[in-house]
Amino acid sequence: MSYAAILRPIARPGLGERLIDALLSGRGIWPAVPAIIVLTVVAVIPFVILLSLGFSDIVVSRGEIASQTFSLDHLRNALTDPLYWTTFQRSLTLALSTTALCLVFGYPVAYLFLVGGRWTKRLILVLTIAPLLTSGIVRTYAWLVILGGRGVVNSTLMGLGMIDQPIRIMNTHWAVLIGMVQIHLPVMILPLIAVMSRHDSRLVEASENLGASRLGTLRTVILPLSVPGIGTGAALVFTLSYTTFVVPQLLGGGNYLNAATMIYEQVVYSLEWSKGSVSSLILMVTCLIVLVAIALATNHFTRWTRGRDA
Amino acid sequence: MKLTRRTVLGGLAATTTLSAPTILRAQTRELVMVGYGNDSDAPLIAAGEELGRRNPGVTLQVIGGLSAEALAQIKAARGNSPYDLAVMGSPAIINALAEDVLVPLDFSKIPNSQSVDPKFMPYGYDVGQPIWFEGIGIAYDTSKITAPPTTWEELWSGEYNGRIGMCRPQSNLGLGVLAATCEAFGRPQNDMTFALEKWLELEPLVGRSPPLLQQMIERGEVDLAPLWHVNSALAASAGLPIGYVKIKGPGPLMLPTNIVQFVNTADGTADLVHEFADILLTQDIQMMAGSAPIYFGTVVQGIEVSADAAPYVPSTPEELAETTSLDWPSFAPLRGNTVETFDRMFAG
Repeated sequence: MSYAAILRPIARPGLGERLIDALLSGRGIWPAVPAIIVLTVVAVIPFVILLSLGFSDIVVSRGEIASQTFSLDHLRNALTDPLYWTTFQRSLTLALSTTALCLVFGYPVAYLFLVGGRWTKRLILVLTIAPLLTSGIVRTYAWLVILGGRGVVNSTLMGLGMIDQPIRIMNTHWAVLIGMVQIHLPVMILPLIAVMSRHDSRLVEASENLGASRLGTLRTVILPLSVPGIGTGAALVFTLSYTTFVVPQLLGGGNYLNAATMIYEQVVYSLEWSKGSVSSLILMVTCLIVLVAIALATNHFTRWTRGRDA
Repeated sequence: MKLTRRTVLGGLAATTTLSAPTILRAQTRELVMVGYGNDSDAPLIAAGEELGRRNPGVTLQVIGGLSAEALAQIKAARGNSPYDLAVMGSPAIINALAEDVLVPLDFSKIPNSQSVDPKFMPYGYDVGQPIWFEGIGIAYDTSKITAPPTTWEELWSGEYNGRIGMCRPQSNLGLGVLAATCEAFGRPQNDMTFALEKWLELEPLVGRSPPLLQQMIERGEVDLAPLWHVNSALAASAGLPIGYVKIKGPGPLMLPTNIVQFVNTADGTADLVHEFADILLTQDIQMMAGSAPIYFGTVVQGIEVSADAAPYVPSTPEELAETTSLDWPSFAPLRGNTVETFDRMFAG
């Protein structure tokens, strides 16, 4: 074979090959292009259309929008309506309470995962992931059975002679909070486990060798290092709790109103899409504000940790 | 390529095989309707099967759901309705007319419509065909209440405060109960603020929908509540200690259910919808709808109410004469405002 045959120029790759090459190169935004296209089509465009309804007066004919004129009335009405303030305040309180309780209950589990043996770790992982394999609706219905007037809690308390009449737990704020914490607890535990199990275990050993107690090691070594996990878990739990629909719908009763149930009713039952659109906008903006606050706090405490490490 | 008898026959066989699904699809037609999503769909399914027998290739798909949700979906689809027809209560028809998503039925194409009791026809509002009715009464836990109230006004005797349930006014049941409350106290049926204030006095536990209210009675969270007779009958048929009163003053109250046709249905669908409505009004389907466990009230003249349906459906001549409905057009358009007023007063 001649050198000319061996050294012939490599054929220029086709468009498809060049596109795949660009995607795999990791340069620029190319790897995210497929996701950006999907999100634009299924999320961004519908959301923009929905938001546009909040800033317009609509006339419908034969099921189609016949005319649409710009208006700020719906936003103004919402911002001056006490019902909106009360409802969003209730949603915010519920979401923050759920986040705090999930952290309180979830952190010890993640700590146990860090210090526990192989079987303890496996058991914790199974118990954390197993609930995620069932529908949230099914898990919420289980609480209907547990918390009802003839449910396990009331039957047990009455059987023990602690109460004469069933206490009302269902259809209260407490029922919603209990359901929310149980449903969202795995979402807090998993990021904590992911972050905490990444740490160098020699740091803990070093702390103990230097005379720190278990509590001292937890407070000065493990807790500061797990701040990114706390931040991630808190952001996820808050977002899910703040926008939740199923749990308040089933456990809160008909007079429990949070932001998501209000939007659902405005869109489906009242067919007042402009109101629903404005409510969605308020929900999104307030949610983003809290998420930014969580991100700033996480960043602040993570930097503090790094400073101490240095 | 050389054409032989084998290649020609082979080509014909291949063409037939490839085109078979297309030919089959062309011969099958599917009507999609919004039904109830529970045992109450049985007469609709039976009528759909009869429609299929009369029109080979035609099938009916019944999708459970609320008519309000169907309206929202049609609105979201900008008029390209994913449904051809629906069962719809009278107040929902008023909302659908406001959204302009219904095509009026041609009653001359529904021969059995002639046998419908004339008092029910106005509740189709010239666009829907009444097919049966549901009653609004009081469902109660028989293990806790021995002498249930027989009139709306008795609910305010003080005996039931804190023990009673009510449905949110987003549902036809909740809205109808508020109108009945106004009527009971001599107020216009659309004085919703008055009715909500009266209900606030009762310190009720609120159910988000009639089925959830039914479950609240079943779980012992409330002792009694205004409920559809169908929900009460379904709970009682499960062996639960639940009784039902055809409450009066006003009453016995009924809400006709209608067949309605949505906009943007394909060519030829309208004829099938009319034929389906006609089948629903036949003696067999009406008898089936009026039997256990659902006991829909029949709108067709000359059909006797069975003995086991009598606790739920007006059956005696006196009851039938007193049976009435509400002035739905006067308050159904107030649904959105009423829900907001309700939330201002009750939400917590």
